[in-house]
Amino acid sequence: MSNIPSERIWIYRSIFIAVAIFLMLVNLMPLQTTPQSWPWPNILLLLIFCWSLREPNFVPIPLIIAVLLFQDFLLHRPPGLFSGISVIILIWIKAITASSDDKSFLAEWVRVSLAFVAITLVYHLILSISFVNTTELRIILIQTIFNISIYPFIVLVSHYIFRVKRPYFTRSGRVI
Amino acid sequence: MNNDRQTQTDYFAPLRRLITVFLILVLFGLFVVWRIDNPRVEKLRALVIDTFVPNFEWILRPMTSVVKLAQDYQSYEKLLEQNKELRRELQQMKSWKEAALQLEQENARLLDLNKLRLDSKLTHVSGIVIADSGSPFRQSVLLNIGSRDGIQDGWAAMDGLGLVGRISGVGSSTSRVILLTDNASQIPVILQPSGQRAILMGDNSFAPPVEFIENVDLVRPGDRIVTSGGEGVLPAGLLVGALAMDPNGRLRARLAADYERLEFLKVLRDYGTEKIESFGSLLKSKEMSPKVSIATEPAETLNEASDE
Repeated sequence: MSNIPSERIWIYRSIFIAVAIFLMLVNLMPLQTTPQSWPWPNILLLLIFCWSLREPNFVPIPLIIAVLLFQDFLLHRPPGLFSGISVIILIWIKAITASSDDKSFLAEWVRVSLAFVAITLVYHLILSISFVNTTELRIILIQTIFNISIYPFIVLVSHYIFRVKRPYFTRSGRVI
Repeated sequence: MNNDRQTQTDYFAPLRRLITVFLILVLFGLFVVWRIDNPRVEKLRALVIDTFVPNFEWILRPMTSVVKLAQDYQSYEKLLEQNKELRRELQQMKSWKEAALQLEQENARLLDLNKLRLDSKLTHVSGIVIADSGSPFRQSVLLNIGSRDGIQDGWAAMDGLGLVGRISGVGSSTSRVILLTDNASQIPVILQPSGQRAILMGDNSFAPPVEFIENVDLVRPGDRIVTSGGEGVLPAGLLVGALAMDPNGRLRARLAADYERLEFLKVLRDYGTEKIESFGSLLKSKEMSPKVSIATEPAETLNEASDE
């Protein structure tokens, strides 16, 4: 456990919820009623990964699940699938990060990139198996590439604007 | 102090893990339920959207206007050019307007002569587009009218000119329109003037392909596409667009509705065509009502007439 005061944790949780709602509203603005060939990156997912790898207390898993499920419902995705896959892979990446020695940003970026690719492929695979083919692999891959390339910006924004910084782990996983 | 915290974490960790596993199972369970019993979960989705989106309309609307203002500003640069073009178009439109007015008057006179009863499908409810699908994979918009305005699933949504999509998912004050460009949209159409039947299948592109044409030789790019009303899907005769051929030789629909600016949509009331299920009682009346002898006589003559 970290030694962050609990008010601060709750403030950040509410900031997270507000940002999530704002991002969904931006998505919902009726501006793109024609088919798009250049999809927007999934900034909410980027934010979840970024904060989870820095301050897991700000975004506890139940909160992430609630927000992602809500996004599933709003954005007309098959409910539960995308959020389920994302959360499992997020937990996995968190475990890898905690046990790994390499704390550089580059290593984190590589791990997160692999996570996004994995989410995309598994999501597409399950949709194809269950005959709900509403996503084109081309668009979903472009979105994944966008997600990966924008991740550093999200990290910078979190660092300088939201002041969500990375704690330094020791071997045993404790925070100094 | 630090040790104390550590033990506390260990005490709660299994419980937290259990909750996480449970929640993830719930998520995948929800997906499976959605796959099996789609309508019920979609109803839940309509409820979620219905409670959330209208509450945020106060911020959604100004945000949208600001972005649109910025987009419009870019087009100001081409204002002069546009103005010239519009003037030319207006000139053409004036002559059309004259023709339309004359036709309208003639039409009204003829309808009056015929004592024609207009179809109830010609009435409509108009709604404002408050949100789009929000994802690049689905093409749909959310309207601010719902079941309290009498909207039902499957009704047709049009802009001023052409068909835009079908209602799919109705909340009490919102309803979702699946656009013709969506992957899930399939609509039976007729190509005029050849009268060939076909299906318009959305594929997430700007011009949805027209598939399953009975005889491709009879249709040409430029043909009008209207809904066929087959299988009770949508009322018949709504304008969809014009046929066009893409560079690969595939026939696609150039949609008549202006998808760039979907702001107001009208939803056509359509309670389906009434089915005539009873047989003509006139023909049967001979056995059924022996008392009424007068009534049977014309029936008999009618019977004979039909035998011939």
